[in-house]
Amino acid sequence: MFAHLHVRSWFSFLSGGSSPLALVQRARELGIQSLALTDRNGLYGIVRFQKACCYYGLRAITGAEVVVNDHPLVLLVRSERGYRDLCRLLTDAHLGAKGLTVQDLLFAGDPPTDADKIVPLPTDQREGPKVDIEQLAGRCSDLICLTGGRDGQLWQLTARRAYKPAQQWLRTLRELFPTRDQLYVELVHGLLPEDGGALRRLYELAEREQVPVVASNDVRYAEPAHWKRYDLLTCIRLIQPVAEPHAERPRNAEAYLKSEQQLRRLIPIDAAFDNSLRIADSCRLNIVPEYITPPAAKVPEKHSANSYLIQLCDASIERLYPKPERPRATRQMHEELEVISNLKLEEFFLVVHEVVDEARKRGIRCAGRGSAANSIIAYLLGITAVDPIHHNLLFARFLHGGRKGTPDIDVDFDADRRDEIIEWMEQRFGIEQTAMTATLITYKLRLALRDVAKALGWPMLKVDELSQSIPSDHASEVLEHREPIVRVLGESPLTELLFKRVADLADCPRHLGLHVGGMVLCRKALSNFSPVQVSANGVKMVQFDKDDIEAMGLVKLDVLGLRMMACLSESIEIVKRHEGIDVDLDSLPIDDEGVFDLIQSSKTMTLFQIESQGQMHLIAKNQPQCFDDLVSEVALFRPGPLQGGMVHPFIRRRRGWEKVSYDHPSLEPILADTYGVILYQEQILEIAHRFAGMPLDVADNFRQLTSKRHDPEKLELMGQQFITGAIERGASREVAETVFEKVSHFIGYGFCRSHAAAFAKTVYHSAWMKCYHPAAHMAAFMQHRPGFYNLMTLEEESRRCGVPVRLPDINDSGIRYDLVRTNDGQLVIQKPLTTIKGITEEKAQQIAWARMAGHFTSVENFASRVHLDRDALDVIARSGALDRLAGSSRRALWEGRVIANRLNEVDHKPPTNSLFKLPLLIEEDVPELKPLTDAERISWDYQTTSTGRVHPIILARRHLNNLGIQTVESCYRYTPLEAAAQPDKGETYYDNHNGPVVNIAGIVIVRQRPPTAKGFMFITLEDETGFLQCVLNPKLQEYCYQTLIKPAIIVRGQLQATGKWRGIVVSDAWPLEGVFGGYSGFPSARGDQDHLDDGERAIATGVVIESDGRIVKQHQPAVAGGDHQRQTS
Amino acid sequence: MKSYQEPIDVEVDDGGKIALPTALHWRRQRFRVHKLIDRWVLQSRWWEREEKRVYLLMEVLPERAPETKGAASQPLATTTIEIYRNDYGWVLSRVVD
Repeated sequence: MFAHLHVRSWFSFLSGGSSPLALVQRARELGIQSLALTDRNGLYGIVRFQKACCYYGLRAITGAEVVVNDHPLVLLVRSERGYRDLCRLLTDAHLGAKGLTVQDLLFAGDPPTDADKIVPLPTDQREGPKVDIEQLAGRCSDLICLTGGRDGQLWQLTARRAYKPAQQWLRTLRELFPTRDQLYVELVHGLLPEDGGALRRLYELAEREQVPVVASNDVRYAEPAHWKRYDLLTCIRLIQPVAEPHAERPRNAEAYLKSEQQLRRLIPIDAAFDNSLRIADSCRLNIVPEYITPPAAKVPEKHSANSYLIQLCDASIERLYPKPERPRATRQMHEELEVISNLKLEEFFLVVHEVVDEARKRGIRCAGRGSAANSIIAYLLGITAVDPIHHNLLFARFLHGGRKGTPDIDVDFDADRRDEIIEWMEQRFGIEQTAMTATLITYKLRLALRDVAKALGWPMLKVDELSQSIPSDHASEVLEHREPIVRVLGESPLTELLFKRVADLADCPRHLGLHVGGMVLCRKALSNFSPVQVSANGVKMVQFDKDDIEAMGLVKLDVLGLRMMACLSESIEIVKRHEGIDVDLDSLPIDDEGVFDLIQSSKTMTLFQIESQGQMHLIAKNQPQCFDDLVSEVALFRPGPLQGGMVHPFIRRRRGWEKVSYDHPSLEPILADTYGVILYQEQILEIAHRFAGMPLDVADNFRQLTSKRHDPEKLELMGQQFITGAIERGASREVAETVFEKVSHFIGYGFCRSHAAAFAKTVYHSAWMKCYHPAAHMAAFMQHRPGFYNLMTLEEESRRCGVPVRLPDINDSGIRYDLVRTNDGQLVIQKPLTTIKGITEEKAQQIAWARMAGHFTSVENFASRVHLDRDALDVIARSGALDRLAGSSRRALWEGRVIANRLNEVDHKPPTNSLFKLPLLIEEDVPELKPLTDAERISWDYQTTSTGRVHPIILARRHLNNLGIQTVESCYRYTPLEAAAQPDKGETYYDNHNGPVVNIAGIVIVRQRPPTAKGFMFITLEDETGFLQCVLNPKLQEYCYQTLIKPAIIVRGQLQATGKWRGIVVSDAWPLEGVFGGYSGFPSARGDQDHLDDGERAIATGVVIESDGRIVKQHQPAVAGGDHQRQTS
Repeated sequence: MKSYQEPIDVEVDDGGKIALPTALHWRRQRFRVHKLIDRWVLQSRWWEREEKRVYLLMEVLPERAPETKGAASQPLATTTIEIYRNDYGWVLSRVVD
C-alpha cells in the first residue's frame, strides 16, 4: 500500500498537466487509497479534488507546494489548524510577490482613504509567490513537510554533491518541524540520468540525520499521455517556443501517477512506502462541510435572527400588499420563512437586506435580480423589486428544503458607485472577513489558439490575425473552425498538430481572474478558509471560484455594477437639474402607452437588453403590449428558447395566428401563461416535478442539467427517470417522450422568470426615460455606454430622437456629458472635453478649474492659463473645441503650436523684466490658412473624437445616388399598399422570397455570428439616415470574406420587412472603398485619406465602376495573391 | 566517453517484465552484460517526430579476452558502455575510453 503525497494538477496554472478528477480516477484505477493534491502556491483545486476523492472513495490529503527560500517545500495539512496556517503562509507568499504585506489589507480603525488603497508593484518588478524561512516559523505545528522533489533545495544540493549545505538545510527544516513525524526527506526517481545517484545520496543523508524518508514521484500529470500537454503548458508559462530547450521543461514522460509496483522498482526502500501511509493516516481534514458559515448580521438585542427577519417581513407585508392579496402573500411568506429557517439562512437574508438598505440610504440605485426575485422574503426586504405573487414566480427555483449550499442573490448597483458600497461592506463586515470571489480563466478556443500558435513558433502577426479571424467558442470545437484557421496559417502538419493541442487544452485553467462581483462575506477571518491574494488591479480575492465557495459553506453576495443603473441614476439627476422634474422610476405605472408605442416601433437602441438588431426584429413581430409581454420578450431572445425552437410558436400563439395546445392536460397550469411553450427555467423544474413526479431537489438538478450544454449522457439517464415518472403519473409513453424531447431541447442558457421580470423592469425604466426625457437619457447613455453601439451611432440616434449633439467646446464643455438649453428652449447634448482623445479626466478637470476664473478669451489666454503639453493642445485644437476662440481649427492648431513653442522658450529662459514681457502671439505669427474641406473636417473629427459632426457617408452620397445605391431610410418606405392601408403591426410584409432587391452602402457598426445562428452572419450597416440589419449565409461569407472584414461596404439583397423593422438578405457585397473615397481628398472610413486612382482601385479592391455607373465586381483580384489591401496616405 | 551512435544487435532476456539486455554484438564481437549501472528515459520533440529513448549504462565483458602476451592470468577487463533503445532498435551511444 502506498499514498502519492506530492501531486500537482492543472490548478498549478501552467505547471501541471491533468485535472484533479483525472488524477483521482487514475489513482482509483491503480488501487491507490490516499492521494494528496499539492499544487504550486495555492489551494485552487482542492475543493474539486476533495469532491472527486469523496465520490471515488479515496482519502484526500490537502497540501501545497510553498516556495521557501526560492525552492519549493511540500506542506501537507494534518488538521484544521494546519489548514489555517497553510492558508496564511500562502497569503503571505502571494502578497509578498506583489510587494505587499498582510498589514496592507488591514486598514486599522479609520475608513480607508485613497492613500490606503492596495497598490501592487508594477508587473515587471514582481516575483513569484514565496515566503522566508522566518515566515514559516510558528506556523508548522500541524503541517507535515516533505523536502520537495527535483525542484526542492535538498534534492538540488544533494544532486550536485553539496553535502554540507544539504545537511545544513535539513537541520534548519528539522528545527522548524521538530517532531519525527513532521519532516520527511522526499525520495524521487524520475528515470533521468542523475536521479539514481541523487536518490542514493539523499537516502544516505536522511539516514545520517535520522530523518525519515518517503517515496514520491513528484507527479505532474495523471498518465504518460498528458506529458505533451504538460510540456506545452510549461512552454506557454515560460513564453518560449517548443523547439527551444529550457531547464524547466520535462525531459521525459515519467512524472505521471505510477503504481506502487512501478515506483518500488525505482525506489527500493520499504520504509519510504510505509511512511507515505503513516502520513496519509495522520492527515484528516474536510473542507467541504455540510453546514453554512454565514456572515454576522446586525440583530437588535432581544431578537434572534429568525424573529428579527419575521418582524421585518411582517412590517413590509402590510405596506406592499392590499388586504385582498395579503392572506396569499402571508401564506407564501410563512412557507418561505420555514425553508429559510431550516437551512439556517436567516442571517444571510438580513445581511443582504442591510447592504441594499445602506445603498438606498446613500442614494445608490440598486435592484436584486436572478432567482432571488422568486422569493417574497427578498421582495419584502427590498432586495428585489419584483412581486413574486403578482408574477406567479416559483420559490422552489430559488430555494427548497433539499438544496445544499447557499442560494444566489445578485444585486445590481449603479456601476459608478459600486466601489462605494464595497468599501462600506469591508468596513461593516471586517476587512479580514470580506474578499472577492475568484474566477477560473480556462482555455477557450481563442485563448488556446493564441497560446498554442505562439508556442509552436508562429509569429505574433499571424497569431493576432488568427485570433481575430475566429469567434469565441469551446476549445474542443476547434475543428469546426478549421477553414478560417487554415486560411491564416496554411495547410501543414504543424497546423494539424495545432488542432490537436488546442482541443487538448479545453477546460484547462490558465490563470485566476477576478469574479465580476461575487463578494465573500464571513463571520470569521477568511484566511481560515482560503489563501487571500491580490488581483492584478489591486483587489483582494480568495483562491476559489463561486462553486467552490458554495461547497465550502461560505456565503457570497453578487455585488454587480450595472452601467444601465448608472445611466438611469445620471439621467434622473440630469432631468432634475435641467427640467426641474423629480423622477421616481420605481413608482411609475408600468403600463404607459407612450412607452409601449416606442418599444413596438422597434426604436429600441439604447434600451436595456432589447437594443440588438435581433431583439428589434423580434419586437417587430411580437409587439409587446404590457409589462408581462416585456418579461417574455426578455426571456425569448436567449440561447435556450432560440435553440429549442420556442420563439416562433410563442409569437404565433400569442398573436393568435396559431392555436394554443398542450401535450398533456397536466401541463396547462404550468404553461398557460406562455401559450403552451416552454420559456422559463422554472417551467422545466415544474414539469419535472409535477408532470414527471421528480422530487424538488432532483427536479432542480434536472433543470440545471438542461440549462448547461455538457453531459448528454447524464441527461439521457435522467430522461429515463423523467419518462418513467411521467408514465406512472398517467401520461402515455409517446406523450412522455414528446415532452422530454421539448424539455431537453431547452439546452443552453435561458432565463428564469424572476430574472426576466427583474430585467424587464430596467427595460421599462430605460424606455420610459427615452420616451419622455430623450435628451437626458441619451446624454447619460453616452456617458456610461452600457450598450454595444459605438459613439458615432449613438450620436446619430440622438439626432434621430430630435436631440442635437454639440461638439466639445473649451468654454462650454465639462467633464461629463451634459445638457444645454438653447435660446429657443431646446435641450441639446454638450459633449465633454473627455471625449477628445488624450484628454483624460485629470486634464479636463485642470481646464475646468482654470475656467472658474472666467471664460477663455483666446487660444493664447487658454494656453497660458492651462499648462497642457503640446500634444494635448494640438488635439484640442484639431477637435474644434477652440474654434470659437480662433475662428477655425486650423488657425487654432497653428496658434497653439506657436504658443507652445514660445512657452517652452520662456520656461527655459525666464524673462529678466516681466514689465516688458512680449505677448506670446502676434497677428503676424499666423499666415493666411486655407479652411478645412468637409472631408478633412470629418477626418479630423474621427481622429480626435472617434465621431464625425456629420455622418461620413454624406460625403459620398451624390456618387452613391449616381450608382443607384439607396439610403437606409428609403428601405423603411417600402410597404405594400394593402399593408399601408391596414397596418397590422408585426406582420411580415416581405420575406427573403418576395421582397424588392435593394442596394445599400454604409459603415459596419456591428458584426455578429452568434453560435445559435447556424453559421449565419449578421451585419448592421449604418448610413446618414439610419441603420439596418443584413443577413449573410455561410456560402456568401466564404465568397466575400475579404469584403466583409472591411469597415464600410455596399450590399445588394432582398428586403425583409416586418412591422417597422427592415433587414436585407444579402446576395452580394462589395467594399465601399473606391466609391466612398478613391479620389484624392476623400476621407476614408478609417479617418485618413484615400489616394487611389480608378486603376489602382480596381486592382486593390476588385471593384470597377463602368462609365455608365454600374459597379462591376471582380472577386478574383488581378494582382497575384492579391489581398484586398487599401493604400492609404 | 567516446560517442558512437551506431546501431547494434542486442540479446534481451524477455523473462521479466522489463526486457533487459544480456549481451550485445559490436564490431563482430559479442559482449556479455556484466552489470547494469543505471538507466534513464529521455523523450523529446513531440511536435515533430516523437522519439523515446531508454538508456542503459552498463559494464560489459568481451566474450573472448584479448590475447596479450603475459596477461593470460589477469581477469577480463570490463568496459562501461551506454546504449539506448528507440522505436527502431538498439543504438550504441557512448563507450568509456
